[in-house]
Amino acid sequence: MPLDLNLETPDLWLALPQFIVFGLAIALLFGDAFVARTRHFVWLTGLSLVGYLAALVALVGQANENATTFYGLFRADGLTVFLSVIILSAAVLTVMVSASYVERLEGRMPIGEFYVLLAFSVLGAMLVAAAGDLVMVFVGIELSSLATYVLAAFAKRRLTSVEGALKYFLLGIFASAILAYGMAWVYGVTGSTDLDAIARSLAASVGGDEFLDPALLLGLLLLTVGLGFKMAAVPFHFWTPDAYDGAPTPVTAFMSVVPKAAAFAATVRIFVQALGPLRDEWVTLLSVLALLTMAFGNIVAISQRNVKRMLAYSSIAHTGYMLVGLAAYQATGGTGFGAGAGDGDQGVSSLLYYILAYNFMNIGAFAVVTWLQHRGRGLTLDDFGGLATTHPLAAAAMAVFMVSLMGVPPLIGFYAKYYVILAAIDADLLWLAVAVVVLSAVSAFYYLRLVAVMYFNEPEGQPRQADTRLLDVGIAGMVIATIALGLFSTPIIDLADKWESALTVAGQVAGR
Amino acid sequence: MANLLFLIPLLPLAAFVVNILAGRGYLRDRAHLVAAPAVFGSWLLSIAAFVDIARNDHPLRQHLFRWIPSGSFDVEVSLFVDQLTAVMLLVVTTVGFLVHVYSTGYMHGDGGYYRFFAYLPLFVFSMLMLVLADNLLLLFVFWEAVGLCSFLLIGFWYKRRAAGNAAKKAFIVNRIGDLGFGLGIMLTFWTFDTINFWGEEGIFAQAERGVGGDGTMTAIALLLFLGACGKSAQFPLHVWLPDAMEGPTPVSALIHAATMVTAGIYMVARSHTLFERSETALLVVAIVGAFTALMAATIAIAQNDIKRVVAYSTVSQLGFMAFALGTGAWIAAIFHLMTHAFFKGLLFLGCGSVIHGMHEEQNIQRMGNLRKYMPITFWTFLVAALANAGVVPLAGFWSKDEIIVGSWISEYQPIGKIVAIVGLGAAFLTSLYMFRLVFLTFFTRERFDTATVHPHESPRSMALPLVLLAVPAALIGFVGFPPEDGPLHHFLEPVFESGAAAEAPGPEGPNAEGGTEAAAPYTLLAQDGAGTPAGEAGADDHGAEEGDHGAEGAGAGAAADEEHGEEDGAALGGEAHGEEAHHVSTATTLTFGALSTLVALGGIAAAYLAYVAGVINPVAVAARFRPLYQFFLNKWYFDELYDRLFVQPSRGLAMLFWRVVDIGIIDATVNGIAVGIGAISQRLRHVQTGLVANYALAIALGMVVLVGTYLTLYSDLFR
Repeated sequence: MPLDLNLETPDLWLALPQFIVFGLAIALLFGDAFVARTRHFVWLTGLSLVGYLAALVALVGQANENATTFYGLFRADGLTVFLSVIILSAAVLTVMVSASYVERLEGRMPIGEFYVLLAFSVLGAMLVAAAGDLVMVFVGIELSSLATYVLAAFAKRRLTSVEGALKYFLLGIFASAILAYGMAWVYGVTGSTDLDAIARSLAASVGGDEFLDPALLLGLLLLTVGLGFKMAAVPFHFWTPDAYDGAPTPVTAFMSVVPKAAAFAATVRIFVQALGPLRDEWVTLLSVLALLTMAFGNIVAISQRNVKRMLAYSSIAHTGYMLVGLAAYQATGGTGFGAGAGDGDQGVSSLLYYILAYNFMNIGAFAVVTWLQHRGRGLTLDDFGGLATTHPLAAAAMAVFMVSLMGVPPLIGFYAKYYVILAAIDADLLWLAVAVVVLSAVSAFYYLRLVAVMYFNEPEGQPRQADTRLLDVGIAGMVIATIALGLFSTPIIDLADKWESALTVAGQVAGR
Repeated sequence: MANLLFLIPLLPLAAFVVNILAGRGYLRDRAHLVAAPAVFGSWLLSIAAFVDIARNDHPLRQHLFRWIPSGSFDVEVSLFVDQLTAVMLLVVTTVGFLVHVYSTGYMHGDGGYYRFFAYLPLFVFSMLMLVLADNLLLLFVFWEAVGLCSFLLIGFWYKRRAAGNAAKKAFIVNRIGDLGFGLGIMLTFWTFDTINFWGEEGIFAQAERGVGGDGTMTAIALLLFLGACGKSAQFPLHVWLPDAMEGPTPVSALIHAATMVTAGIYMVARSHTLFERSETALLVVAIVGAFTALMAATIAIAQNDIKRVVAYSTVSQLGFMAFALGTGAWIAAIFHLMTHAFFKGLLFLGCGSVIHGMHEEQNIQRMGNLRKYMPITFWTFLVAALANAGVVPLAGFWSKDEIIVGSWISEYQPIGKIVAIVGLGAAFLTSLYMFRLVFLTFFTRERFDTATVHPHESPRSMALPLVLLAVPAALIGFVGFPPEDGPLHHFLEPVFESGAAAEAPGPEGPNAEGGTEAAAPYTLLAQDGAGTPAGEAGADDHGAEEGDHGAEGAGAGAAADEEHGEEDGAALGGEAHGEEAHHVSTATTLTFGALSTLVALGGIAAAYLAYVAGVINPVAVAARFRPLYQFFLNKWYFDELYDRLFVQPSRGLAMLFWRVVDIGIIDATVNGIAVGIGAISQRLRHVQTGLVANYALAIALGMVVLVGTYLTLYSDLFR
């Protein structure tokens, strides 16, 4: 049988932002090799910032794109754009937060390699966001994860860093195996790895009150476990506190956002786009996971004295809030939060907005921790004592991030929770909406405790002087974003509503 | 111009941000270099906006962003400038800028200099946003924001106990009003399903169309007025304003005389369409206003603190504005608001200059003959006092006279005539206390120790604003000349015309055809021209009687709720209003002009006889009417009464709640839950063993449980 070589030229322009990041990674490799070590700090930091910003600019051109290329492997649609914006801005912020840390603390780590790994991890996450195929999702996740494992171990002289990274790595490949296994089952049942093709196949076979094919259900559950690990949902979260605690703080900031965003990108791509017809099955599953995750993360965070560990559990709790948004997916189509709110699908839009909000406030919180480490303070609650007296601006910034994570208006964290709660109520998940509110109240305890320590305790010891200009600018930017993007949330939620274009192909076929 | 509107509030906001961030560290004594130019820029832009509107006669609107999208409760942040807002913008930025200049002198050397110049532009920003707001919620937000600024600035010298207490009192008393305002907004939304002012579906257009029952409209109007009572210091919520004088004097001038306290008047005028739907509400507004005007004036004649006299005068003048609103004399109220802003601002700045020159002395019994020492302060103060007393041809005369005429001929108010007489009485007291103040302060002999106290004229930065403010305080009244027919009246007319609400460019964009016809009966300044010549002829001789007919006409129009759009109702109402509003008979005008002048001069004469010529001995008079004097001196015992009625009982209640409910029930529950969760947390953290094998096992177990449950429940595998 002759090979059917039906070759078409891929539309490379659609992948321009991804190519820019790839080009950045290569350029950084060369820069690391050929630029004098003394100039690494300035040149490579500058190169990274320029590269990510250029990719962000390239995204602007794709704002209204809705196309696939590479035989359906790659998609450029509203979902790709929004998630890529989050991932790239997280990358920019991570560079700003990490530059001086990598250069000066923990025994001067090789900054060139750091940026290269960061770029590959970002590229992987962006590929997940743009994936149109199960294989692409998997490749993207692995690319992102492998780079992140190394980043987590980057402070190689410190045992906790290596220990956390090893745990992360071992459990990560375990979860990857489960994920691949789940994909295999789905492929076996539907006969395709293309997300739209899976949706078409399922839409044709699923329906009525019949029991699901156990094979399909098994595939769904295995996927849930695999993705649940990547997004750090309870009970698949165990790697999180150890890895977050061990990794260098800027890496923790990065790990808490980009791999999580990638995991949710994969979940939306697989669950909403491909397994949309199975919505009734996975919504219950995700609701239960969301409740467990919120409750566990918030409650255990209370007993943490180490701020990084506290933030690790807090990030688990936020995974729970995000899952609520996803569980509010209704598969009805419609206009989301836009004009005439209430008649559309708000779940995914609220999730996307939440990830964006989380990006700024969480990296912000870790950034202030980094800032303090530069000034010779440790990571426990007591090290934050009296910060308001010694460094009022840093304390104010941290207070803004804490209060925003807690969800107090008018900060971005409030609006994020607001949209998630709206979506949950709209999807008749009132109990989940109530749980979000109650557990947010629980979270007030540990967020406000940090604020209280900063403002009411006496400072100990003399702070060291440090010059962290890039970090200062980054923190200021995140404070502004945390305040402004909440007040001006409507343009952003409108942008998030465009994720629906990801469904158009499947939607036409499934008759939605 | 419409595209630049956002700059008007943005400039002061930017000044606030800069000063609060960089003030303590870098700017310090240069903070005014940021604040004053910013407000000056707003002033220039406000003039541009004013000119634009005067030329094109079309409101400006700039949409900024959608703030709260939540079903039908969709709040936009948009700026809106019509004629009313344009006037307010000018008043706020003019007085605001001059007060900034003045403060550079007055606050010189104060430890909180940068803080002062951060709060002051913040206030200007909030006040500008308040008048620019195009929906009730946005107005409410900045209503609260100016309240916050007021709180911060009254308590500016927070180390002084009295200042702290006064700040708290202002804040708490305003809470009562704001609760009413908040409820009013909710009820508005409940009734109209929107809180936007403009457009065909805006609250005003709907109110004109007759949406909402009479009872509902009365409730809305009264709740909104409760808010206005708090902010504009009307009885029974007036008690905070005199205490607010603990703040720095420039603050008193800007916030507690010229601008913020008039926010309530502005709000009622802005929502006049709602008030016109309810006769009861208008009656309440008129009575409260007239009572406040009289009551505050009686208190002012007995006070000895220079700032307190002026403060009670402010309360009294706000009362004038309020009863003007209640009698439907909307334009007169805004006119008085404007003139008052200038002459009362000037009075306070003058007080500040006196206090500054007398080394923080505030008791007028320990002053005297100051005109010798501070001539600029004296002359400008005299201009302001004459304007406040309502002497021809200074600003206060025109507006106050118009209010009294307006209420006399009001066809809305059956009690209009009573209100007008009360107003005349209050006007007499006004000129009496004003000139008691002037004579005791600037005339007679020095009643202070000339050996130790050396009064001096204030520095140029303080004197210049005094002179600059004296010009409008003297002349601004002429924008309302001739009475009822001045340029100001023609300028403001479109605002208070029917159908304006729907015609204004609402969220749906400009709409030229509103419900003009339907709304006629509710509008005071209805279409003149067609159908009115007969009425005009009648009005020439019987202005007063015509007023009564007009009231009936309006009543008939309002009563015929379903038919109010019909031709005859509209004709009747329109006829009755058109003539009165535009053509008050010359005889009435002249009569009242003469009466007002007589009353004002009478007050001055009485003050002269008592305090300069010594013909009447004020001490003897006070002794003779001792109970009455004590009553006035102690401010009608309002503070004591409220203390007995509200403060003590609520303190007792608070103790009860604290001891029993709070500690016993709530704290116990909350702490119990907290301890419980803490204990759970301590347990759960031990799940994190640190052993990677355990973690893997947990994941595997979780997977097994999930898969097992689901395969059992949701598939036919085990069936």
